[in-house]
Amino acid sequence: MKPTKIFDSKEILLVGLSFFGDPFSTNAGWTEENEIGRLWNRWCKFLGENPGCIQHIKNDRQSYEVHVEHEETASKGHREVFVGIEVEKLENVPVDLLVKILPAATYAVFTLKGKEIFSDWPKIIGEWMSSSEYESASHFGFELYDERFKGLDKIDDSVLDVYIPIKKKSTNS
Amino acid sequence: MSHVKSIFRAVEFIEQNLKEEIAVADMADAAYYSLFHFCRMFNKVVQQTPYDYLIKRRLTESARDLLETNKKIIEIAFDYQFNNPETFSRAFKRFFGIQPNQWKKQSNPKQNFGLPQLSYDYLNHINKGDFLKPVFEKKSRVQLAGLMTVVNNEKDISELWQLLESVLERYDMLEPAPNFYGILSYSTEWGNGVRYYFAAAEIELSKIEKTSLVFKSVPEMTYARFIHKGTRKERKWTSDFIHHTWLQKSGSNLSLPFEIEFLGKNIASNLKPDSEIAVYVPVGE
Repeated sequence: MKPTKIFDSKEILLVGLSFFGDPFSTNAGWTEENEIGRLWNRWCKFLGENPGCIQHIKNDRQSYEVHVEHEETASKGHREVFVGIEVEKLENVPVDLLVKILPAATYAVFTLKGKEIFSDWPKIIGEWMSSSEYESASHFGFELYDERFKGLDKIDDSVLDVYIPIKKKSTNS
Repeated sequence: MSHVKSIFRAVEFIEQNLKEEIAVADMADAAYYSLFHFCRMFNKVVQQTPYDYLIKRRLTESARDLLETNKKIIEIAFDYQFNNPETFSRAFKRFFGIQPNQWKKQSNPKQNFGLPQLSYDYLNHINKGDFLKPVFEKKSRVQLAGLMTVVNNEKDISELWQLLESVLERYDMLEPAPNFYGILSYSTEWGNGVRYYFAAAEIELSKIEKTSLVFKSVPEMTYARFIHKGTRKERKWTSDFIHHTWLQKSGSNLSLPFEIEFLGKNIASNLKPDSEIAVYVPVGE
């Protein structure tokens, strides 16, 4: 798999909700029953019950699912998952919500279609990376959900972009 | 390659490295998965997190060492990569319910305890579908008549059913066909190893004075009902799953040490290789 594009992004400000742990400890299937699905449910419920509560939304048709790896990710499989929406500036953020700031970065963007979304794409991306002139630049990455993603039950018709921060491999290594 | 096969490679890797400093990322490498995908797949196939599995296997083997070697508790703790004896004791107590020093002093230890190494066949069995997700169900009192035996192997159970069928036939109790139940009891605890099997038919109280049969009345109780799919031989793995994975994960307690198999009106269905058996496990809050 090759990246659809490589682009430089400014800092990204997100408002949303977060989970830390092994998200699949309760259910590993591709359902809404694991902790990632629960996080999305919590987030959608909040948005539904509190319309208009988030100010300065950049694009209300795009949602972010950010995965942040910590020290415990490699040793215990625990990670942070953050679900939210991008805002222009941080002002009057509701107390129920959290803020995540992604630094300015260069991203490789991979476009997953249909069943690819369920595959081991982190591995496929890793394989592309090792044969490319790039390497991973950070310990996070995100999935950008927009109107092209139709839902887990309509995965064949769905498209999802994955953003991985990259940097050029240093030539002397 | 199937997910079960890949995950089993990780299980073998864990087994070879219980005394080494290994991370979940190393297990993912052993399975040739990315770390993220590995966590998902391990949980799906094994029904516990890879890290929990590693810790439970270390605790189980450390418990064995406590019984079978003369090593000090602190040495065993370090052997299995616990940073200090306090962490070890806390984890041990959480898993086994008693402190390592109390465990070591047991006069009559169990034969099976903790979490055994999971076999490939076991993993294959519990991954045949969603059938291991139980439904909670209240069942009213049932009056049973049948035969009981100690179970050494699955053949004992089939022979017992055949014997029961001939006895019931003699008593003219097969028409109309009664409901058949099999009760698998563990003498004291699951870990003890000894099993009894009671092959029985549901009968009316008025008919119970038959000397060739034994009787049992099972009171009204709440059960978790699992559906076992597969052969009689694979039946053991369904019980294993219930005991060393499901009970812990669900936070349910076994209210009585047995399992009831509901076989409907057809004894033979229970002996076919592709049969489905409803397994009722008595549970409390």
